[in-house]
Amino acid sequence: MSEFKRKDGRANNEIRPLKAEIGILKNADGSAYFEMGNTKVLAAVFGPREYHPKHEASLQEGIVRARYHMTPFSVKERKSPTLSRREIEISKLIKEVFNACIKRDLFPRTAIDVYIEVLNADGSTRVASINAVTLALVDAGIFLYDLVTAVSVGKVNGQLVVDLTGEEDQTGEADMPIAMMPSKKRVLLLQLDGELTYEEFNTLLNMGIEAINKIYEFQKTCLKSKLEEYLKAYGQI
Amino acid sequence: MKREIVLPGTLLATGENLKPGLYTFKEDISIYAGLLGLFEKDTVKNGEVINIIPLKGKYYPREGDNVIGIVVRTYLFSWLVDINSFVYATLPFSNAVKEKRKKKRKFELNLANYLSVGDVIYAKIVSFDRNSPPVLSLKEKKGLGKVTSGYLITMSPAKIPRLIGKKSSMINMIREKLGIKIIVGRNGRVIAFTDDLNKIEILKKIIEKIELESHTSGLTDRIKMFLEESKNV
Repeated sequence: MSEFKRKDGRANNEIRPLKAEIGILKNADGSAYFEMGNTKVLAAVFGPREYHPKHEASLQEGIVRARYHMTPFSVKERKSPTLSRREIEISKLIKEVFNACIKRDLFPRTAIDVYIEVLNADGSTRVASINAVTLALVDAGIFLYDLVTAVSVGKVNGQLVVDLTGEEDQTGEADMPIAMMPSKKRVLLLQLDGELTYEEFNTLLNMGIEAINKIYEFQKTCLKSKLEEYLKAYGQI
Repeated sequence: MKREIVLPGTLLATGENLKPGLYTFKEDISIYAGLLGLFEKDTVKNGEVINIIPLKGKYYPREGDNVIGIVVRTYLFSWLVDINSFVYATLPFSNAVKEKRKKKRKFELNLANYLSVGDVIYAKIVSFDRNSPPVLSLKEKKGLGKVTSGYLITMSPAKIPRLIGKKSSMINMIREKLGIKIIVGRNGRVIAFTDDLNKIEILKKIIEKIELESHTSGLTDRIKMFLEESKNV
């Protein structure tokens, strides 16, 4: 089984090359750019700020609002810029993921607005979006219980694989995005599209957790690298 | 003093008697960080509050803080003030104006005569809890009130403690070297009272430097050197 290589030459449990940049948008309170192979996502966070309309605000806690949007040029054929059913659905689940990991009771009656633009789509966009938003939230200085890291796993041509590309997603038998708080080992999102046996599900979940830990380490180094440079320059570490 | 960069979810300390601070949280008996910040490991003592120095984030209002606000709306008997936080603060008429309001002539009162939209005020937060927005006052001490001249500079609220320094050492040094009056609001706003654009330019550069290097030690000395260098030019 280890002989098998995927179309892009990756091993089954190998994730695509990652790239990230933090704090690239000046007008937003926090922002991040995240790349997983050819999937490129831009996330901006505003807030906590006043909730409008006010009657929808919660007196107990702040509320996360998310807007996941694919740019018209993100796919091969032009995508209509209006929010499709799929985008509204993904917006909702991203909102729920981050409602669970932010300490919201510090900011009653407020909104935390999260905007996500998919610049280039090649599978696993919701997962890349979640990774990008986490970085943007830390950049904005919002109280999180833990970073959130996500990865998609699936079954393609009978093989259990990690980090699906767009093609694998379309031709595969099943795909399963997972989002977790890695250091607390809590699952925040788990969707499954397709059919898996019980054993397959278990191995995929473990493969996903393994991949999530890799991405988690990457996220941590991204957030720390700039600060560490300064601290080292002045001999603080 | 060794410092460590911590991220949300980083384990800070474990112990029965530890208490979480404003930027940390407790789960079972462990304290975790909630923000990107710096943590001094040597400071952990039993029964004490464990906190971190945040490096980012919006201003979180606290009682007793001096802030610089901008009036955004006038109501019948109060003003709504933007204090660069996640909530607007209110400034009641009685906290702003010394003379007593004559009850009979209540309806002749026009708040716009005292403060109007866009005015900048230097105020103190007298109360704030989760259930109501922060309440400001201009009567708490001398020096508070409407700001009618000066140059407003904004910076990251998380870096303000560094601009002030230990026992105001940094800000007093800057005031002394530049020879101008500067007021600092905890909410990330600074006003310099001068018409000398060169001095404002120097102050802006200092603030930029502090924002970049806030988490390093010996900053006051470096700012001092920087000030002396820029004076010679």
